[in-house]
Amino acid sequence: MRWRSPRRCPRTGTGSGPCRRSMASATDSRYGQKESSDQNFDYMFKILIIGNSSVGKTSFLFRYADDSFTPAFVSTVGIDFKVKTIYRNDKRIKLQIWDTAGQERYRTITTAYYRGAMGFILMYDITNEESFNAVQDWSTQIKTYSWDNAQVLLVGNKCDMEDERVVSSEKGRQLAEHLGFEFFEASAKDNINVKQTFERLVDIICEKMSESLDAADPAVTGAKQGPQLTDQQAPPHQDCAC
Amino acid sequence: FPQREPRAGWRLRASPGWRPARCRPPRAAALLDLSFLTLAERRAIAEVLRRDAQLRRRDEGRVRRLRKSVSDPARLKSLTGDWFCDVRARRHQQPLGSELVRASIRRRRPRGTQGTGTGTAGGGCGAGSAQGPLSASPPACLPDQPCDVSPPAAALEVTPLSQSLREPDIPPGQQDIPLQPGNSGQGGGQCHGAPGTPRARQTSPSRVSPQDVPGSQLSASSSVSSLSSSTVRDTGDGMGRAAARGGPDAVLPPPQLSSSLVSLYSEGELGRVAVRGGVQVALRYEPAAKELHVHVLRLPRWHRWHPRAAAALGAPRLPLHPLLSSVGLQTDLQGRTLNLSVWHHDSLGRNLFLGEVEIALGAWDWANTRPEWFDLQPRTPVSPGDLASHGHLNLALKFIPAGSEGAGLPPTGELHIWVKDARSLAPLRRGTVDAFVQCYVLPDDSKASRQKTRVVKRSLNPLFNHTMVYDGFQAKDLAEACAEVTLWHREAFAKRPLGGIRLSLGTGEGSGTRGLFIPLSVLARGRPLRGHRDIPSVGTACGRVLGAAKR
Repeated sequence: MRWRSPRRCPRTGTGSGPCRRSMASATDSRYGQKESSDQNFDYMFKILIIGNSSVGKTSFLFRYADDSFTPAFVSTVGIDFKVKTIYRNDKRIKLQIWDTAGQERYRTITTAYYRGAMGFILMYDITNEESFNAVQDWSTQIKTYSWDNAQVLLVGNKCDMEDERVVSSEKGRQLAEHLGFEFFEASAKDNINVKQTFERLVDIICEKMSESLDAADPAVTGAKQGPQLTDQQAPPHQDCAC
Repeated sequence: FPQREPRAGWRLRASPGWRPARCRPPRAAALLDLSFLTLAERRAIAEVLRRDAQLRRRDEGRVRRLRKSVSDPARLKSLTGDWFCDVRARRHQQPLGSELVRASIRRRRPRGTQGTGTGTAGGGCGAGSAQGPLSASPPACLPDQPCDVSPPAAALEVTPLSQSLREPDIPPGQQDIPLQPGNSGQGGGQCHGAPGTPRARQTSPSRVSPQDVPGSQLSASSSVSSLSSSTVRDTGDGMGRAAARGGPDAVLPPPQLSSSLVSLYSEGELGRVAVRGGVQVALRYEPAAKELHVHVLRLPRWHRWHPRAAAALGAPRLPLHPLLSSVGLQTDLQGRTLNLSVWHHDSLGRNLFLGEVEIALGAWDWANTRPEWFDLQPRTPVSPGDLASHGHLNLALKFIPAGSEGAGLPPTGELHIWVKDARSLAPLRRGTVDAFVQCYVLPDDSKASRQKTRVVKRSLNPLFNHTMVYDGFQAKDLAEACAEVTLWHREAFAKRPLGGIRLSLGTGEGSGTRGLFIPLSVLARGRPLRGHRDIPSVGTACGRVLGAAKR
């Protein structure tokens, strides 16, 4: 048995389909040509953004991941995510940020993602009282569906719309304190506190990671390689700058 | 054969089907009711799931490399994300979002024409045979590839035994592959669960269903006892569900689907376990339906082993060929031998042979439908000479790295699969075979990956002489690729499988893809292709037989 010309189809007679069929497209998607560069990170964190419909979760994510903003409202279908790699605490951290639909209709889907999330951004709209009142419920959802140590940042979005504000910063801070969350006011539109929110959440997750490793094996404390965040400063100015 | 070996030291071997034990979601989650979604919504979500799966697959690659290179356990835990899996696992025993949603979306999809699957994704492994796969894909089809034709009376297929592992609608993470990728010999370590209740056992008879076409032959029989399996986490629970699901019909493939068993060795393991004990079997033949019912009632309780039974109808006194399954049954059961083998299905999806029984059906008293005990016997290895009468597929593979022919040619790596011919095929019915060969390079199971030869009509020794060329490969892709070559009989409106093989480097990597490298539990693994002696350099080519290679 001897190979014939490798470049030509040695098929005899009629056949079905072309002899050569490119695998290129499939290869691209399956094997990921960019894999090596894509995999150039230390940690992968999964973050979930939740909150009422139209509070600006998707805009917030787009601002952070793509630095883009569009005022048009397009309701998220179920779930979506974006990926962003950041450099933080001398580590490259790849974030998979899940954006959820706020609509009740998709609740079965979105809650399924709670348990895979290391941290949460719980968002309300400072111009929408109802969305603020729902924070307590969202918080309960997190406690129900997530892991024990879920880290949550409460974010009051749309702080650029000061004229229409119905939820004061103070109210937001108090509620956050009550729930044990850290608090930011932010604006996806004006790019206020967006990056800070995510970075703070990443820091908190890093802390939790270190804690869990310490708890799991106290013996390794000395050799621990996880990020040491003990000298982490307190969160910077958290309120909306405007 | 290949003028250029892909790389010195590469070895083709069968792929273990487990994924790295990382964040593997346990089973037993109720699926979501997503029936409210519109088609467009479903599509949108499916696209997100696809992107997520891709991302995860890549991350698994990264984690694999980490596991090889990082020795500090704490550091490894943080880098891989295992720390989170650990803390999460304290609270949740459910699959991750995408897997659950994916399973749930699939669940709502209309199924194939062969009936409806029942049960939930959380069904136990043993109970898995009651689930979708039996109906979702006609057993003749390789479940991890699109099966566009559903032969109404497939003669050869996989057995339910393997189907529980091949649930196409359950995301890979949910397949019941246990966490410990431990030594196969220890697979039974988790199996304190009793192998099911008697009732559960009795709901899992198997039957041989010959085609209803007069004069057609039954090819082979199959039998599976969905006794407990080492891979079920909550054995008791799973079995309870199996029992609750009730009637045999829930467990059985639809009668028109004859379940032929491909017999199998797990060769390396053969003889590792001392054969002892017996098996209680009841046989009943229904002449009207031309069905042989094999009820496996009881298997001894092996310490540490999770037994499963598989049966095949062999030709008279012919040892069952591991590659193959189906023997044309020209007459009736007279002169046939029922081979029933008992296997331990271990945590890696491998099968350990626990013993077998051969029952000469010619001498069987068919008035006796009571259960009888048979002592298990050791199996004598099949010598290649016994296989002389079986069909052969003659093929060769080579990989041409990009640029290896000079002048930048070929521009990308190419995998060539030369399907030369097949010999000594046995017809499914009387007469001859209109055979063709089709090929996929998994994990791409899309139609774009499918290539076929022409149909060679009315020949038991069809000459194809066809080279399938797949380009766009890098050498590293090969580690995750698996060439699947299957032989089919073309009929007017359908195609019927004659057999097939899978060839891969067998790292098992890339198994994040649905159905990829799932251990075909009944099939031989990691063994040279018997009956394929014409393949050059067969020493480097081992593979698992997929369906059945025709004798």
